[in-house]
Amino acid sequence: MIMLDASGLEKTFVLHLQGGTRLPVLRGAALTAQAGECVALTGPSGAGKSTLLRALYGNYLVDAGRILVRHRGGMVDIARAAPEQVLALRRETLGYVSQFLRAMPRVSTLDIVAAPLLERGEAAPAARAKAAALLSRLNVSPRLHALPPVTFSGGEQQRVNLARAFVCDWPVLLLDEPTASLDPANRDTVIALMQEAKARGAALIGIFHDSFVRDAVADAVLRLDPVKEDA
Amino acid sequence: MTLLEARHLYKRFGTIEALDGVSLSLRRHEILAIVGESGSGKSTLLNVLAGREAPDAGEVLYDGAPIAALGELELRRLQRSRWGFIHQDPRQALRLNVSAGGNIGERLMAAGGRNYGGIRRTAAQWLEAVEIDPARLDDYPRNFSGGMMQRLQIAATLVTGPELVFMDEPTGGLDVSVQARILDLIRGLVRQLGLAAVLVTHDIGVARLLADRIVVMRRGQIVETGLTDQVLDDPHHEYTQLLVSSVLPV
Repeated sequence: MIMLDASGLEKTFVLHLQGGTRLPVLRGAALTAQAGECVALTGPSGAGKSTLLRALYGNYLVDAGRILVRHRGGMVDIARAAPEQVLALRRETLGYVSQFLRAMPRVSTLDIVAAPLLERGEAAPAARAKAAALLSRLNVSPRLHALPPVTFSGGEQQRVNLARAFVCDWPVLLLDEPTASLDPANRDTVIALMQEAKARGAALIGIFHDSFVRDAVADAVLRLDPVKEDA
Repeated sequence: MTLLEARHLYKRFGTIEALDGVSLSLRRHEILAIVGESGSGKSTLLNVLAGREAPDAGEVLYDGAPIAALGELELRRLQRSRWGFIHQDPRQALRLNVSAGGNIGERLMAAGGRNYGGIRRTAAQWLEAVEIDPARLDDYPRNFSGGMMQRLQIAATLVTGPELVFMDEPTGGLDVSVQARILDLIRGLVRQLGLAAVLVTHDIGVARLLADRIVVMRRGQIVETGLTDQVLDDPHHEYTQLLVSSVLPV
C-alpha cells in the first residue's frame, strides 16, 4: 500500500537579502513510500535531501509538484492542504525526527516526550508511562525525566528528541539523521525502533549518513544530485 | 469553524496607513501571531479586531456577525464575557488599589457572579493557576513584581472563561527569566482551556513557542502568512527574511 507519493517537486530558494540570489534545490524530485518499507535518501551534501524531507513534512513549501499522504483513509496533498489540515496530518499521520531538540524552558523531559500523545487525545497517565518507558529504553535516566532538557548534553537531547518521535505509532515517519551523535548501543536501539515501526506497517523515509544504519533499515534508495544551474 | 474574521480593513492616522487592506481569519482553538516591527500596524490591527477601535473601512465578524452592528453595551458585554484582552502593561487592566482577589472577583461579578464565598474561592484557585500564593488574595497588586502583576492580569482575564483572547506583547518589558515563566503559563492555559487567541509580538521566539499560524505585517499590510514553522523556516518575503535573519542565535 502506498503511504506517500510525491512527484514533480520543485523548490528554489530566493534570498532577497543576498540581492535576490536564486538557489534551485529540487527539480522534478519524485518519491514513493510503501507501508512497511524504508526509503533512504542519499547523495552529496547540498543535493537537497533535508530540503526534500522538510517539503514532505510541509515545513518548506514547494513551488510545484504534489505530495500525497495517506491520511484518514484518503490521500491528502500536503503541498496544497489548508493550515489546519497540515496540522491534523502532523498530529495523526506524519512524524518527523529532526537532528535537534527544540527544548522549552520549564517543560519537563517526560512532558516533552509525551506531548505528541497528549495532542492526539491520549490520557495523561498512559502517555507519561509510554514516554517514560521509551526514555529508559534510550538510556535517559529516570532521574532526568522530571527536568527540562535545556541543560542536557547534545547526545541526551538527541535521545529525548528520538523518544518524542517514536512515542507515537506514526503511519509515515520522516527521519533526518536520527543516529547522528549516538553511541553504538543507542544507535542499535534506534535501528530496532525503526524496524519495529516498519513491522507494524509504517513507511519510513530517512537520511542516514551512517551506512551501517542505512543497510540495516533501508529497502530502497533514492539518490539526489545537486541541481545544475541551466545557462 | 471560523471564529473571527477581518475583511479589507483600512485605518489611517494622519498620513500613515496603519491598516491598508487587511483580511484574515481565525478558527476556534487556533493561536494566531501577528508579527512585525513597531509601526507595522500590528497593534492597530489587534485593537480593531478586539473592537477597541473602529476601522475607517472594512469589517470584523465574530461568529459570522459584524461587531460594528452591536450596540456599545452589547460589545462591552462580549468583551467582558466571551473575550479577554491581555495588555503589555498590566497596570492598564488592573486596579492597583484593589486587592488581587478583588481584581479577579470584579470580572466575575461583572459577568453575573453574586456568591461572595464562591467568588473568593474561584479567585484563590486562579491565583494558584498562575502560580501566585493564594495567601496573597488580599494583597494589593501595587506591591507585586512586574511578572506577578502580569500573571494576575492573566488570571483576571481568564477567570470568566473567554473563548477568544487578544494579547498585546504579553511578555514585553519583562526580564527574560520572568518571560519564560509567563510564556509557559500562557502556553499551558491556552491549550488546557481550548482558547483561540490573537497575539501581537515583535519577538519571533514568542510566536514560535505559542502560535499555530503567523501573519507578518509591514506598513499596514500583511506581507506573508502561513503555519508558524513554514513562515519562520522558509520565509518568502524580503521583509520576513529580514525579520528571521535578524534574530541572534543562542
